[in-house]
Amino acid sequence: MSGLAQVFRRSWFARVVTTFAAMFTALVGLVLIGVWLAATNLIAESARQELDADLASFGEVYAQRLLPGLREAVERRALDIGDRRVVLLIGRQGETLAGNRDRIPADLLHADATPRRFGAYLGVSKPLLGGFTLALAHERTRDDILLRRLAMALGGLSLIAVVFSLAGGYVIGQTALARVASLNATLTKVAEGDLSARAPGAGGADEFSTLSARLNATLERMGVLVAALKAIAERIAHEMRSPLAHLRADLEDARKSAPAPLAGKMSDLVADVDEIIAVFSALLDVTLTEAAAGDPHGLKSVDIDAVVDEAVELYDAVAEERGVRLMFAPRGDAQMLGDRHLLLRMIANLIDNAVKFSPAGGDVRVGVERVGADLVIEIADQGPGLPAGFETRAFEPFARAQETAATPGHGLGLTLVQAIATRHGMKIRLHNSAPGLRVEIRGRALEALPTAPAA
Amino acid sequence: MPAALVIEDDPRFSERIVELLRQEGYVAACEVDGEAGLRRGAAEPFDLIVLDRMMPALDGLTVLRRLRELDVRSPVLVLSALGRVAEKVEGLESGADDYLAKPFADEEFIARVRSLARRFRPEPHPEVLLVGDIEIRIKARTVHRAGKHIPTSRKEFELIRCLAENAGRFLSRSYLLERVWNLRFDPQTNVVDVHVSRLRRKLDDGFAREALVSARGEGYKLDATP
Repeated sequence: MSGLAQVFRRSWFARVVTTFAAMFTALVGLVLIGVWLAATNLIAESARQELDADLASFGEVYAQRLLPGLREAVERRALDIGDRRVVLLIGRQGETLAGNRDRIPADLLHADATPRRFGAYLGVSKPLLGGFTLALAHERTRDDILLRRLAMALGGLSLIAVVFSLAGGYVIGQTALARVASLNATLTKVAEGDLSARAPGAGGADEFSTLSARLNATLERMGVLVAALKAIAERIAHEMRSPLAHLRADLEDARKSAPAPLAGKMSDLVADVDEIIAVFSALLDVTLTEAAAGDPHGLKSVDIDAVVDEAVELYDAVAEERGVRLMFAPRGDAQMLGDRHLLLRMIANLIDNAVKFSPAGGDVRVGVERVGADLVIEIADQGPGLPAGFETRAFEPFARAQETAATPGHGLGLTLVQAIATRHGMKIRLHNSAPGLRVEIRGRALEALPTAPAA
Repeated sequence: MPAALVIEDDPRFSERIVELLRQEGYVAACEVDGEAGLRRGAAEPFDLIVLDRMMPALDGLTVLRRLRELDVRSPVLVLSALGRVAEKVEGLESGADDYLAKPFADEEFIARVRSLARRFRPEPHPEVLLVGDIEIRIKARTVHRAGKHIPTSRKEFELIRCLAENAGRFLSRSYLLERVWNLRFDPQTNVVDVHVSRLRRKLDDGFAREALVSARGEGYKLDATP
């Protein structure tokens, strides 16, 4: 039951189809009930009229030809009608004078001159001048069979109506669903970074085609903007880096011939220029990496264990110097589609943070785990964690928590980490696990080729 | 004297590169756009081609691909303001032998030119590197100083080997990161500093003279003077 509730909650079309089927069925039901009532009335009415007419004609025979004529007429009629109709002429002492029954059925003892229902009969009983009684009746079983047949026919019709309404709803639902699903598929691709994805069926004139066409126009526009962003970033790279490079070269030249105190100052200036270039490059990297999200170009099968191992090897000396234990146990069989350099940079950045914020004697644990179809890379430290509420801002460019102002860094590390994750369709989550911060990166694992035999 | 071709549209850079190459003993010819560079590179034999990536007329990577199609096998060092990893990889895939992002330090340019020259030198690579009293055996992967064995980790060996191959010259952090760790980015924390000082402790402890020298803004060098 809860499964069905789930379907209704999640599918607009399930709700529409069910509502449609219910309304259609109710309508058909109402019509059929109307037909049933009309038929029942019609049958009863015709029986009544027949009884009235019979009563009238027998009354006329009695008036003209008296008892013998009536007796003869009743006998004749008794032969004509089947078992299910009753015609009886009863004498003064209650004896049967003519008719198709030996005596009056119990149900009809209280019948009177108006045709009405009495138990199993629709009947009428009329006293005649001279103390005789004429009883006429239709056994209702005859009508019942007729009505039962009608009921079966109508029931079949309602069943067909329900089936048709469900089938109709399903077909309409499926058609609309297929088109919505294709729009959803397109948007999923876009969300994963493939800006070249376009919704199909934009050529027609209906509402869905219009929606597809509008969506495609929006995507087209987005593509143009991203391309423009990339172009301007590259332009800036070229226009700004050359003057900076000249500045750096000239400073270096000047330093060589400068006297000692000035040379020291100039070394500082060269370092400052390098810092400007570093921030600039990092921003450029973030922009271009984000712009490349979803582009499969340049992605290859990467052994995540090996990449993590390299990052750990890069930081082992730093960790040792700070008295931090950096631990990683490769799990084997951890392949992912990616850019090795970028993934290494992402993991190195996170290990850099973890080691930087760890207290002396603390542990930094790095793990790679397979969870279903995903690979989860986890980096956990025992540092101060993130200040409350900072989790959402941590990935913004130049966002730095107040408490870390004394720690070196330009505030673009996590922004780049996020950009690289986006580039690979990975999701990052930060958990404050008191003590420490646990960073979880989850991405789709690359399945080992099934043809490879287990040696 | 070895000959070099510099294809670069920025005259100040061109001038500086020519001067650096002259110091390294090259005779350098210059071209200021891609088309002229391609014609020259295809017509004359050069021992080294230094190629800017962004140029008028014909961009650097196209020049490079055409040259490789014409079976020009000279080592090519690509210079570019676009120093991103993906672009470096793209450059290397187009047939470049090395890729250097602008801006760069003079020492770094020279280190790369020398490294290219070593790679393309016909004679075999030396099995033993001698720098002052330090002896490095490449195949055995051992380091000795004045006869005393210095134990090194895998990366420490690569580090001292790289420094020894460029003995007497300062090598920048980014150059070492690329050569030793195969990293094409600068980590936030100065990991190279820490690795170098660990190596220095192993190398210089108990010796009067410091063999591994560092200078702010310049990098690290292995001193050849005894």
